[in-house]
Amino acid sequence: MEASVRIRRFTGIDRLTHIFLIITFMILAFTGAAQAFYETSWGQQLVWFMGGYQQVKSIHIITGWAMSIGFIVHIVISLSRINWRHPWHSLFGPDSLIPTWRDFKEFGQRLMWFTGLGKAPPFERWTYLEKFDYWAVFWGIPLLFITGIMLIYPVDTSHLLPGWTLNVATLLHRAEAVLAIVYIIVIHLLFGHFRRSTFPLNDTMFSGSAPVGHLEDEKPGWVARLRDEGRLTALVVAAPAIWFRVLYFVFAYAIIILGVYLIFSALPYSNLLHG
Amino acid sequence: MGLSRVGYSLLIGLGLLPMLPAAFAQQGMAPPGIYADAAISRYRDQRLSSAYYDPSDQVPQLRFGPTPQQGSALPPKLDAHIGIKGYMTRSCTSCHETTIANSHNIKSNITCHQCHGGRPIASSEHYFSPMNPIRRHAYVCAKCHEGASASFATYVVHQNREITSDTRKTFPALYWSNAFMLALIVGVMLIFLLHGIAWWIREWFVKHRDSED
Repeated sequence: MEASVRIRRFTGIDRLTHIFLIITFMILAFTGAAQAFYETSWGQQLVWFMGGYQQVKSIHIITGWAMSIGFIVHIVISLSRINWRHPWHSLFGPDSLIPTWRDFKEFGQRLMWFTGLGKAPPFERWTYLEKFDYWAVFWGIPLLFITGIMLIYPVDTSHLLPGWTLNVATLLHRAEAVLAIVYIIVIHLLFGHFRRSTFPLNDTMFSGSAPVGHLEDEKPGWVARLRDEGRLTALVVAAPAIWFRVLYFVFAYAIIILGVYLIFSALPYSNLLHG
Repeated sequence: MGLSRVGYSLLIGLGLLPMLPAAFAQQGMAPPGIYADAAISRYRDQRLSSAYYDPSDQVPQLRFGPTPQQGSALPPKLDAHIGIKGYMTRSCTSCHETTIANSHNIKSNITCHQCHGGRPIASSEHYFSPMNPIRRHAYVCAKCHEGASASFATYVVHQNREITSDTRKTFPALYWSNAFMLALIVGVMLIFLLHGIAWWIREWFVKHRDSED
C-alpha cells in the first residue's frame, strides 16, 4: 500500500463531537476570561466586544449547559460502543482509551527515545499522550460543571452545603479553567500541530483520516495489527475534497490564533507574572 | 434670682448622672446598677439582651471553613467608630484599605454602606448589629439574594485575593484547594512542556520518508 493512501481513524460522530467541543470550549474560555479579568483594561474591552457583562455571563452559562449536555451525550455514545459481549477486551484492549500498563511502559520507552538511548515505542492506536489528553478533559468538565452549578445557584447550594464552599467553588472553577485552557492551547494545539511531522496542521481529527505512511511512523503497532487482522484495506478512504480541506484549515487556524491571543492577552494580568 | 452658678452645675450634674452606667459599659467593666446581673452567668440562657456581652460566650466554630472574624478583644460596641477623628468626612477605605477588593464591589458596584448599613455602624458581634451572624442572612444578604439562609451568610465576601500562610489557619479549605490546584497546574505544565520540547527537538533527527503531498 502506498504511503499516501489514507485510512480512517475517526468516525463522523467523533469529528462532530470534537468540533462541538472546540466551539463550546472557546466560547466558555473567552466569556470566562472576560469575567475573570473584568477589572483590567483588556477585560473591559473584551466585555464590551461581547455585549456587556450581563450578556457575557448569560452566554457563559448557556454554553456551559450546552457543553455539559454534549458531555452526557458523549458518555452515552461511548457506552454504546463498548462490546458488552467481550467487555474486558473492549475496555482494556488496544482500541480503548483506558490507560493500561502498556502506556506507562511506552512513556518510559519514549523518554529513552528522546535521549537517543532507545528506539521509538511501537505505539498502538492511542498513545499515552492522547489518553492523558482525553481523561484530563474528561475530569475537567465535571469539576467545572459542578462548581459552575454551585455558582449559578448559590442560594440553593447553601441549603445543601455551607456557604463558604462557594469561596472554594469560585477558586476551583477559576483554577481548573486556567489549567484546561493553558494545557489545551499550549500543549494540545501548539505541540499537536507544530511538530515537524505534522506541520502545518495535524488534520486527522478534521478529515477523519491520515496517510498510512504517517501512521506507520507514529503508530506502527496499530497499522501492523490492522494488517494482520486484514482490516487495513477496508479502512481506506478517499482524500478529503479541496474545499473541505481549505474550510477546516481556516477554521483550525482561526482557533489556534484565538487561543494564542487569549493566552498572551491574559498573561500580563495573571498570577504568573504578579506572583 | 434662683440658683447660683454652683446650684445650676449641680442640677446639670444630677441630670447627667443616669448616663454613668453607659460610660462604664463602653470601657468593658461590669456595669453597675440595673445591668449588673448581666455579668452573672447563671442566667445566661434566659437573658434576652442587655447590650453587654459576656466574653466567655462561645462563637460557634465552622470546621474547615473560615474562622469568624475576630474583631477586637473589647466587647462589641453599638458604635464601632466612636471617638475616631474626622470620621464623618472620611471614606471607609481610608482605614479599611483591602476590603474594597471584593467581587460584590467589582462586579456589581455595591458599596460598603449598602451591606454594612447606615451610621452608627455597630461591631459585627454586637447583638443589635445587622451583620451579626444570627441575622446577617436575613438583614443583609436577603436584600438581594432572595431566600438566603444562615448557611448562605457563611460565604466570605471579603476574601483575600492572595492566599497567604495566614489563610492556612483562617480558611483551611481554601488554602488547601489553592495549594492542590497550584501544584496540579505547575506539575502538569512543567512535565508536558518539557516533554513537548524534547519531542519537538527529537523529531528533527528522524529520517522521514519523502513527503506525500
